[in-house]
Amino acid sequence: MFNQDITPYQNISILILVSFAFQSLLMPSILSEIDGPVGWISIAAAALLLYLAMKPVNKLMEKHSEDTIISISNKLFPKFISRSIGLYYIFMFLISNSILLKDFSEQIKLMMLFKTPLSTIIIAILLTAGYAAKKGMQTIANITNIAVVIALIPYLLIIVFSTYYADYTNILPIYPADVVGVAKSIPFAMLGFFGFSILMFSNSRVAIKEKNLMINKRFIVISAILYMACYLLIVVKFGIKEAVNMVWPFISVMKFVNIPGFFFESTEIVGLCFQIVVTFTCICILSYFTNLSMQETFKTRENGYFIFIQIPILYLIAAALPGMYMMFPYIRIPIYALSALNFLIPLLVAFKDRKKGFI
Amino acid sequence: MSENNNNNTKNQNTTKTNIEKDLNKNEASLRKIFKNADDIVFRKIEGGQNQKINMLLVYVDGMTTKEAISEYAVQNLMMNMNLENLEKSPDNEILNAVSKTNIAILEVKTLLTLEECVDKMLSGETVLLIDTCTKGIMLSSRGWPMRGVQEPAAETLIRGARDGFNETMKVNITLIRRRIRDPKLKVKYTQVGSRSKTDMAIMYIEDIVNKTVLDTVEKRIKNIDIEAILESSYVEEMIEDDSYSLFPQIENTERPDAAASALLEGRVVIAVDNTPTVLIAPAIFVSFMQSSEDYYERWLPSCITRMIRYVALPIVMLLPALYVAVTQFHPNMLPTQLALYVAASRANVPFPPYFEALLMELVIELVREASMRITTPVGSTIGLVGGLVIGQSSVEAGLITPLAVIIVALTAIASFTIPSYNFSTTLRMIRFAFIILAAVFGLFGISIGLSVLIIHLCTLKSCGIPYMSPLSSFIEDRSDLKDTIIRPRIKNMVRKPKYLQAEKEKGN
Amino acid sequence: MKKIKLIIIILAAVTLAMVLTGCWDSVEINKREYLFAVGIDKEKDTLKFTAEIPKINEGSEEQRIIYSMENNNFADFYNTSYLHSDKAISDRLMQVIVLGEETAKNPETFKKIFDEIQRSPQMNRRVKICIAKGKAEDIINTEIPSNPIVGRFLSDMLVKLKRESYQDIYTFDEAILHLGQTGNAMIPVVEMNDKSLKIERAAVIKEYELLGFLETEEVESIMLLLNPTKANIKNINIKADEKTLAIGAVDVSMTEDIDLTGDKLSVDYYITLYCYVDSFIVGDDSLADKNFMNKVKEESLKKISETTASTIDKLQHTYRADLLRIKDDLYKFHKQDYEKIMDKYDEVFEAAHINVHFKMDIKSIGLVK
Repeated sequence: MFNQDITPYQNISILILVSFAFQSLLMPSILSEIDGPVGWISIAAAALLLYLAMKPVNKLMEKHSEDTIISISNKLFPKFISRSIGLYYIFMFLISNSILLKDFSEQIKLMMLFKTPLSTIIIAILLTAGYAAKKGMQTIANITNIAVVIALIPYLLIIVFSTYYADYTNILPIYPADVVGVAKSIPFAMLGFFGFSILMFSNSRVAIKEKNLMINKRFIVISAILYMACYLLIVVKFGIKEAVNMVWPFISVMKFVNIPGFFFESTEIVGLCFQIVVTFTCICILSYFTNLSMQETFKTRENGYFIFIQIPILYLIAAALPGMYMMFPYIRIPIYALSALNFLIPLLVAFKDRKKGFI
Repeated sequence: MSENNNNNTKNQNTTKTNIEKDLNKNEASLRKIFKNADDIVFRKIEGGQNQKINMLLVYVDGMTTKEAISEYAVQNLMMNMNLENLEKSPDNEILNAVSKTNIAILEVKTLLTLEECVDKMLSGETVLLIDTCTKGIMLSSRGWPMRGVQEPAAETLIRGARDGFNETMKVNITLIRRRIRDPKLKVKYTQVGSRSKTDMAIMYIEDIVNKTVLDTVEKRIKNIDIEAILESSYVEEMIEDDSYSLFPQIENTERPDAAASALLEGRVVIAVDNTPTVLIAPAIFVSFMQSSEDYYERWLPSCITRMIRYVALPIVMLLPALYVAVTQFHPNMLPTQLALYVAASRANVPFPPYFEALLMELVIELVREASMRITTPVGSTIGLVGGLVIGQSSVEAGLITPLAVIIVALTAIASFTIPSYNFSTTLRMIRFAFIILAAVFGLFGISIGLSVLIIHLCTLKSCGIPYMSPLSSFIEDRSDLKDTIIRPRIKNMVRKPKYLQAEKEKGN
Repeated sequence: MKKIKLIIIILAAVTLAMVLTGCWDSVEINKREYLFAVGIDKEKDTLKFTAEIPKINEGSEEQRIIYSMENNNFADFYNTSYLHSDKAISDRLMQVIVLGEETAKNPETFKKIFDEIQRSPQMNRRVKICIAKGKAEDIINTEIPSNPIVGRFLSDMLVKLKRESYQDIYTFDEAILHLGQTGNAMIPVVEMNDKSLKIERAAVIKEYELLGFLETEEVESIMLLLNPTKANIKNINIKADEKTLAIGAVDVSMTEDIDLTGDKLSVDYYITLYCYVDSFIVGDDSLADKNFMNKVKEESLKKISETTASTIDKLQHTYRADLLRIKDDLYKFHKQDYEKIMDKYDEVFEAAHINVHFKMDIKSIGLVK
């Protein structure tokens, strides 16, 4: 009855959905880092790197199939290091969650509720998300799958209609590509695959293990395709020069959705509604995994009640953060650090595990 | 007919009174039990060759078929009794002889205690007590006024069987058995209710039922502690997973064909005596959107009608809320011409849109409730009066806008397309919450409301099966998706629903 | 445990109730006023905004309110309008923005207006845009008998012209995209026409400055080069053998050849027109005559070539405005060479050899011989 396991495909949809939210968040930085519309190359490169990294990570996960990365490192490392890894993940989840929350509530405020105080919007989202995060893994997995069916897929379908009067030659020039820019923006692109960090936790909850590891790899492929498609869509619609100017290129694309005979006039609001469900699900997922990493780090048995610690923290961070566009100048080094750590910690753990295995 | 009372020892009186040798004593104690119950008939007869053997027939008037007893039991006992040598034989031999040779009734059972006798009598059997015997005989004589097998009023179809369940459980079971002639179809009797002692039957097909679901259902029914079950909804409420939820977690039907198809899917059917409605567990979200007619019409049109039903679903829940959100918060969502028209039509309306919507929804609910309470011919008049007169005149009086009337009417009509009555009631109730959310936060409120709704639906389970399956694991259970929004060809529906087969999948 | 749950639920409910009783943004649809069209004219230091608001009233006849105000910018304008009305001013249904000639000639003002529209989360980037010949105020004030609301009239007209490829752009979004890509844009020009309005010509905008106007034929030939698949030439009137004849092009196919060596830019357009005969003389058999047909082709090609050449010449030398978006093509297909001449593109464009080679095929002569 109280089976808290999820299926491999529920797992992959969690990963894809979370990644999608961060991809649209990070899109402006990728657009502006590179001279020319070749950001998709850095996305592809990041995807390739992660795909290669999946192999040692999968081996690790296979060996410790019931453990999250924190509990594995508890076994492998001295207490200090494992504690810091745990704290890092808690910190990372909290920060990314609050950035997501902030950015998203800002969008809602600007687009839908101009005069409503931001804090009200944040509280409303947080309380609802907290309700879900407390319910446990299976609920989160179910919600995610439903969100994919009723929000993400319609959202993507609607967005396709924005290519009305779009100029497809905007994806050129590819050659000569701005190699330096591409290399520089790989960390940005890599952070867009946020599911890679989630995976370290969610894999331990998957019921059918054998298939899961293969499906995990598929996540990178699907997510990369989505990522590139969204990037190209923005470039095709606006051209790289205009796209760089935009704070939320994704929302701006929504304004051009032109479905013949569609009842609603300003489609960005409709799109935003779908996005609310998507982003909202992501916040649920992230809060749940923050709970989980808190549980593992502090070695408690129960994780649901951590949400009551989390909500005020998230609220405070989100309220204190400046708007996303104000952060752009300062965001580069933190993003480099975050994506490097996200990428390297699992590899480090895998490496350590392997070494231990030999001895 | 073999009653199986073992499950319900808890609810039974545990005291046991043995049947005495002295018939008069037995009669006295029975009369004591049935004091002031004038519908109990005590009939004393003297049987045997010399009318030497005293016997007592006891039954409840009105629940027995008197003809059967008088013709095949009393007559034989009084006239043709061939008990020549037994008159003086001791104890219970006489009883055996009587039941074996003198009673021409199909079903006969020996009773050991007075309590057993009372139970049987109350379920319509006749009890025969014989002097000098410490056992009683039950003569099967159940028979009471019964409604015929009619078409269920709430689930009428254009095409499909016209029979429906009635208030007699046995008949209902027969109706299902007739459709599934498989020895694997199991029927387990049980009795629930410390006073009502209502008969219930749990039905399933042995090799396709999900064992976990079956166990859950059996366990929960066993744990029911209630005085009386008057309708199957009592059982439904006692065995559902979350009784605080607005959503029904057990399906019900009055149609034998629907029950049979549920059984064939591997679900469990619970029939309750005195109720024409049988329960089907587990029930998931999509099963409430299916009508048995979907399978009786040609598949392509059924596909489309089912899709239309899924279009109706958001209309029922969200349309008035959308109206509120658009007119109060996001007028720019409307095409310009329409926005101007709506603005113009609202120019003289004194109420804000959310109040307007709530008011009209309330009116619709009133009309619906009123027409439900009144007999059919008057009921339709109420509908007409409510719909036409109130709508028309309130628009003319400038209380509401024509658009609001259209929207409320559309919502009401859409709610009728949901096949399951209790499900559509739930959706209608949720609508009010959405209106309030929309009045506070506009579309953002609606989205938040939807999210909460999704969370709630995702946590719900019906007998251990996730309520939102197969949607909540749509990649694994993609074969189940076939029969959700569309209706596939029957040829393509050979597979049993995967979400129900958790047990089997693991076994293989 | 149960108690804690209950307390939490009550607490959450109370906070929610306290937080949610705002309805800050709720303004009923009939308590708003919708700007349908705004005309912007430059006065000495300020801008003169002329706004058109359709009157919300029951009944079929449509009325409107027009008012003018002098303000520094859009935000200022909204604020003042807010104080002057009993309803909330809303720009969410804005149909069209008309820029006066003087406004468009001042790059600073032009930029400021564009920036403001682009920045606003409320105003749709799809708002239509056109430039007034003369004052925008006069355009907004025009009483069109058939369609009393100018905003809607212009909006519908611009949509139609774009769809039929008469004009290059119709929305603000396209203008901003083109100005970003090449620095040039061709914005429709609205003019007074007796009692109504007409859109025939187009304004040449370069670096947010109005340089001049293009005539109808010129717009047509630019559209032919820009968007050949959708383009059409409605009417070419020619004289062959003293007989007047009108043909129209229904199908156009084009290939483009851009070559950039050093500073020398040469662009060749190869266009094939598939035409039909519109008007001729009844009973005349000349259409069956091959020589006559050749002559017809020759004449009409000459005519089209002349117009096109003069248009291109105007673009190259009078305006130095690359409305043909060659720059964009260079960036996309010849990035390396383009980067060398990027800074002095205007001169390169002026000196470029732009040739249009026409070919004609008469496909049909109509329903009679």
